[in-house]
Amino acid sequence: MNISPRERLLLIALSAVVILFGGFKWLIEPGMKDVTQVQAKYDEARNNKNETIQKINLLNTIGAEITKKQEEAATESAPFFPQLSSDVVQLYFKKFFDLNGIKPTSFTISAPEVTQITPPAEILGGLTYPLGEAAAGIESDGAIKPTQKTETKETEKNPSKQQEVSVDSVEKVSVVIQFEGSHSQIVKFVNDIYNDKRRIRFTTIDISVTNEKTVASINTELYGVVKVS
Amino acid sequence: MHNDLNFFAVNKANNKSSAKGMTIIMPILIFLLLVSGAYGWIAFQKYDYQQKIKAIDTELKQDKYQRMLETMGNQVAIRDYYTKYVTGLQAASKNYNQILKKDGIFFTYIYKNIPPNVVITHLNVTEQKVTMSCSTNDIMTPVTLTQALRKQMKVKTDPTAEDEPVFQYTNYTGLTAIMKDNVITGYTFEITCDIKQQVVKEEKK
Repeated sequence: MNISPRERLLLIALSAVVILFGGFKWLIEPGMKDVTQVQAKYDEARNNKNETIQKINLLNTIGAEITKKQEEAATESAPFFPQLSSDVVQLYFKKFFDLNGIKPTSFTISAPEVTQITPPAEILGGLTYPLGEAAAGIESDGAIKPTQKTETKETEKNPSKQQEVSVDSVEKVSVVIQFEGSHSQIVKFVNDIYNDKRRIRFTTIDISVTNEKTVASINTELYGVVKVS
Repeated sequence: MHNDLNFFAVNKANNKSSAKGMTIIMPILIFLLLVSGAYGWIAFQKYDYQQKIKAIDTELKQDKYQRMLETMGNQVAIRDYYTKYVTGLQAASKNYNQILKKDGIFFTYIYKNIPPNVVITHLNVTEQKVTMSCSTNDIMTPVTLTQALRKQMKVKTDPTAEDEPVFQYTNYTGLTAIMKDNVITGYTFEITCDIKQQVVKEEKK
């Protein structure tokens, strides 16, 4: 079969189009897509490996952080009572009774409960009325903020919120101690307990003198937390 | 006439046709080679990546890594629990430190202001106020005592802290005479002092 040079050229061009285009379209292009996908998976796997190695390398850092937190936990929890069972509470007070020669006539311990330590509310001295409040605010250089009586607390609006236990909740027992002693004995007893640096709160100290006897009634709250070993 | 067979001419014609065929087949073969070469390279790349992924997966599934990751997870949880524990304790301590410290300093402040002619018959100290029932033989004692209790003192252990009033409001509710044989032998009175909360927010560690 004789074919002219022009026909030959056309034949070559046609085969080039068919093979190159067809090959690209049906073999190379899908192959490239596959490679791109596999490459993405490989990148993901490599990143995963790097992250894993980084995490493992962080073990030492986290270990150091934990050590620091352990120290903080020990320091912060030290003033709190470790547990608030009645025997522990009585033994705690015993040393102060012995130290001050006090013999309690009554010693009542409540059941432990969970509570949040709340500082006492501020009472504006004397009468409260707008003019007095304004004058006090001016005198305090704005440190005293005007009272907003119309404001309702969130817990008042939604009582169910009170059910939530706050992160700073601790254990509490109330102890009421009654004994006879002199004023100085009572003050020393209170002072000794304060100097012991435990989380104890004197809610009421009542001292009355009747028939030459000085009787003290002291209401306290003791705060405790579970200690971490 | 007898002519010799001319095989050369036939051969020459065949050679010509074969050469023409080769000029077509050769480019096609080259194109095919190009395409298959490219495809082969792509296939190799794919295989190579798959092998690398497999190697990484195998490495990460090793016990050594798994154990370390498990330990890591536990350590992170422990650290988070410690953070929660310390944060809670710090918040509780902060609240506690805002409570009035009714220690020796506080009582000394009260007692040192009591004149010698005053007898305290009842002293009630709560977190917000101090109430004192007193008796005296001088009608002016409630005045001097009330003014004395309004004095300022250093309530903080910080030596640079300034003197501040312990009570923000001090007042008494008049006097009652103590009669004996129709003669006034003394007076009783009750003083109420509202404790100034913000000045006694002392650190107690």
